Amino acid sequence: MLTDYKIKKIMKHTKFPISREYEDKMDMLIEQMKREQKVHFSYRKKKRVVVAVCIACACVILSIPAKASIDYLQEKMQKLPEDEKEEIYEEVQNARGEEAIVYSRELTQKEEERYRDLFSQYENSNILPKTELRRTDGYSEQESEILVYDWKSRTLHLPERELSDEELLEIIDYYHKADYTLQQKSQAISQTENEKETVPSSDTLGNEVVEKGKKYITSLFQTDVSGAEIEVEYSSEYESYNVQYTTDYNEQYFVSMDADGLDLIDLSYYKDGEDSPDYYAKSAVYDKDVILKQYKEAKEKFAVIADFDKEVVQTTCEYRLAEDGVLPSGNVQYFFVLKNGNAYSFIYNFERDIFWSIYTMPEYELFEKAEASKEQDRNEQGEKRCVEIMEER
Amino acid sequence: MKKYEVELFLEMIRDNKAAFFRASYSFLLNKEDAEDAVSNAVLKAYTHLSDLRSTRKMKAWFYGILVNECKDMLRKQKQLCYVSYETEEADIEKTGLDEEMPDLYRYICQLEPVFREVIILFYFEGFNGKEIARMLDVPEGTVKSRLSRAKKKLKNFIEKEADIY
Repeated sequence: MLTDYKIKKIMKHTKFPISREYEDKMDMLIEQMKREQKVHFSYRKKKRVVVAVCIACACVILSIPAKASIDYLQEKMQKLPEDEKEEIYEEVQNARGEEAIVYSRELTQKEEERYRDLFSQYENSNILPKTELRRTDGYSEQESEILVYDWKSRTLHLPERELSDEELLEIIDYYHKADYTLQQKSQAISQTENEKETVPSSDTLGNEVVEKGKKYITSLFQTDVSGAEIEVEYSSEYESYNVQYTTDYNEQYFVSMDADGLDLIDLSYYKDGEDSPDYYAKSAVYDKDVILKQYKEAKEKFAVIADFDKEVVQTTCEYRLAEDGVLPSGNVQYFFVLKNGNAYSFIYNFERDIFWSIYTMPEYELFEKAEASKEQDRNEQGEKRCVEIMEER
Repeated sequence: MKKYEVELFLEMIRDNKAAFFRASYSFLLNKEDAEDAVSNAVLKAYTHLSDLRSTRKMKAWFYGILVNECKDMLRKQKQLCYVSYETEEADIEKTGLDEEMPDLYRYICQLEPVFREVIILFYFEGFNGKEIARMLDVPEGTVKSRLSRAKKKLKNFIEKEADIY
């Protein structure tokens, strides 16, 4: 069975040739920008580079079992207790701020030399720190004399004195453990996703999913897809069933339903052979009468999915408008904003005279903020985004 | 713009230049154009770094700029690459599919642009549906349906290759 996991695995193994000229060109561009900003990859950056190189080396070594030095490292990592791995993983997941660990100050040259030396010893012998790196979720200035890792802000607080070998080893030890834990977790998640990505074998459930999809299509598009060719797929990423119905007229209805209750997530319509980026993107003249008429239709369709009076707090019609009064994409989007902050979207295309996409949108407010942030770009292209409030309850 | 943001940006560009080229090539199907698109996008992003609200989203933000740059170039060049539904063979007006590209990639490049772009962004670059929807400026549902249909098109090729791995 073709799964996302298999595809990603193949993609990962696919080598992609990059020309030397391109690499040189990009390096020159980066150098030019660095010179302009007088950026010298300050101490923060340097630390990330050192750590990234070290961790990269660790990763390479962990995955190549041939050399004798690997045994020391593998042995150490395999002895890591499960509860400690869980703790480290939780810390990484719940951390705020920078993606990489940030140091509170630059390492001195001496510290850096000893760090490299100890790093090599850590991987090639059974050397270990006597104690573990002290970790906290809320650093206090009172701890300024000791080495502390604030996992919440991903900041390693170094005291303003030379670090001891023991302290450097604690840092090295933690990095290896964190990296190993994340690798293990990532592999476990991929495996679970792969196992989950199967269409349910139960015929009853399969039929139920297909029939529910048909009902949505009939209610929302007034189309009977009884004789259509059907393909069902389960998506582990979205925990949903995706069903594709292809009719004799080469029309495709794609229905995505929540796996739990088969609630509609989205429904799209395509006419095969005409599925190009421009199919639902031909410009049209703005027409208020059409907007109002199609809003009524959108409301009727919404009634198939949910209770308007109980659930909806606001409805809007949103579109991009060019300076000459034209809708550049020919699309308007009706939003039915719900009490829980989510929304249903109905996209109507003027040219095709069809609602071609119906879908749920979580966190409508976030979407609005994101759209508002693109305003400048739109203005530069001679367009503006319009939001008409249709109803407010 | 803050020095730190510039540092992060330059580091991100340096670490991902191969991936950016791969994504750009999947749109433009020509090495030189792909290289130009990446460098144009880098310069554009660099001058608009102050627009970026969160450094955490920097990579996705940059991909959005890169995708737009590629689409602008295509619009200017009016380059077409489409699959004929009768023959399912690629018909490329501007030659650009280089022979050294891996077979899988050459296969993907024969697909319609709408499928090619979601395949690259989802399977190669590892973005999720929401992020891709934002980059391509289409509804998330559209991304999901395109991914599902794209997977169907990849099926024959991939299932052969999957056994090797």
